[in-house]
Amino acid sequence: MIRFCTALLRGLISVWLAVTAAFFLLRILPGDAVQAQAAQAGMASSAVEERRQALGLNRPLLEQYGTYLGGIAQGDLGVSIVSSENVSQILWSRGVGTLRLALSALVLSIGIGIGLGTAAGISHYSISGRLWREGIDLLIAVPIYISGTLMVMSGVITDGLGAALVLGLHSAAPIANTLSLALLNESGQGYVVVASAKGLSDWTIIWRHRVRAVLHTIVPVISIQTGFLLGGTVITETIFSQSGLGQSLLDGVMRRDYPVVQGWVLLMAICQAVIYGLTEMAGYWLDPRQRGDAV
Amino acid sequence: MARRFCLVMAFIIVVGRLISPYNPLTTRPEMSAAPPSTTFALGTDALGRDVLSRVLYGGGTTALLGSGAAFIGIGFGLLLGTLQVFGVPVVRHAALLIEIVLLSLPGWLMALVFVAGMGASWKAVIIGVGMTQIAPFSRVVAMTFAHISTHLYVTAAEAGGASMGYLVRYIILPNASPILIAAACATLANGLLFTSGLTFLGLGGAANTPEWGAMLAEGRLAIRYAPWIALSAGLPLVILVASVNAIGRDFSLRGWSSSG
Repeated sequence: MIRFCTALLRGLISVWLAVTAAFFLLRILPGDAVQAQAAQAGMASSAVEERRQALGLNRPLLEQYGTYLGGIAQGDLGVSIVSSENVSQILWSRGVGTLRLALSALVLSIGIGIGLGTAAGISHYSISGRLWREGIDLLIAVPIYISGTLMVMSGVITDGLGAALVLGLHSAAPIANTLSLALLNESGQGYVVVASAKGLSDWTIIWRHRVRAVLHTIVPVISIQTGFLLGGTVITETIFSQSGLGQSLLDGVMRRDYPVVQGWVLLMAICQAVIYGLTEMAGYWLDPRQRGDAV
Repeated sequence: MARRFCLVMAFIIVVGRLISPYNPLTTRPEMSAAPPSTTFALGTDALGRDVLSRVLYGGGTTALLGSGAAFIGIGFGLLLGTLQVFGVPVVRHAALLIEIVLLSLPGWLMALVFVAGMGASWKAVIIGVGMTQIAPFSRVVAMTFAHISTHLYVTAAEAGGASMGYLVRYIILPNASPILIAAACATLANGLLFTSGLTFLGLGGAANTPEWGAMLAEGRLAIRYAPWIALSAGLPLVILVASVNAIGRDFSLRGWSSSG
């Protein structure tokens, strides 16, 4: 219970930090949404001032920040300056597809990463191990805008599954890399020798003993990759011509539409905090040493 | 093998513009999207510009963007990580706080904000991506330094009256170097991928200048009838990043075996 409360508290703090940092980072940018629009539309300077006043953009920074935090506490994310749409509405309508994409890519990357990492890790000193490692290197090096472009060109899968595969393969590589290094490092350990001396099958030794013992090492990698998967949709959406959260971030920053960008940051921070909590729980479950009671 | 590839890529990047057969900016409307031939070894792009010359010229730009971002990330990351372990308490906590704030901002947001604020340009891309690489590198630095300073030889040096500067420079850094070089390679690879990702989205400014990420974006639109444009820019980028990564892994294996 105490552990749950600390995790919740830490999650809240990290969300608050992200929102605050983004709020002030955006205010460092010269110009605001109204000025950006006015420059294009040729608005009169008095009209610009009026509009800025109405949106509260000329109030002191800390006051704006306070109003914004108060709004979040009541579940009000504000309205888009450009389209006057409700920010939570925008995030909801665009976010469902993006989150589905990120989650399916995450599941794919964990599966592929464990498979590849095991294949590379158990055969480190042989030709096949070398080939697996080269494969992992290649996956790390191929940027998603190349693999995505190739996938679109080949025309095999252009729908959501294709995008999930492109993202998932890219995220699988660091997972596989970490797992194979951990397997290599543990290869001479006593428990491995004992398991084979007991006459267990190779399959059992690999999956029940060797992989099981180092599985916790990929947990932090997965939580880092989640951040990439959530943000990386900026590129995949361009390639697969979808309009999702990545697109609204890109547009939002370029047009200085602060409420939309801040909403995006809030959503990402919450997702990241939830995934972080989940991976931490997975760590406790996978590695008895972290529970403290087993030592 | 990775080293050999890396040498070839370094050669292309450094002397590429000297051996390029044509001016990469010369357009030839009558030769639009011509397939590879004896005159144009890698074909021409949609505007009839020689793809080989653009690849040779573009490598330098791509490498400059990626290594510039990595330089920022590694330099400030090293400083931030060192202060977290060896600073006086106030500095230590401040450094940790800065790192936490940097980590809490999504990388894409940070990079895009710099591009939006400074206008789409090389400088904005380098600084924006560099900022995203500081916190991950300083995390590795702090963890490695903290681990190394538990060793007995560090205590011995401290007992021998070594100053903090001497300790970091001559005792800690040499022992941490395999891991730090591995992390630096990863930072460089990330920098290359991230900066060319931004130029791929058209945020690098100067649309005419040859650069691999921007060439990929141009080639993507023509990929069905002129795949050589995207492939000529994409393959060298992949090989460059893969060999940087492989060299990094060699170092990290060395670090593992010497510490364990």
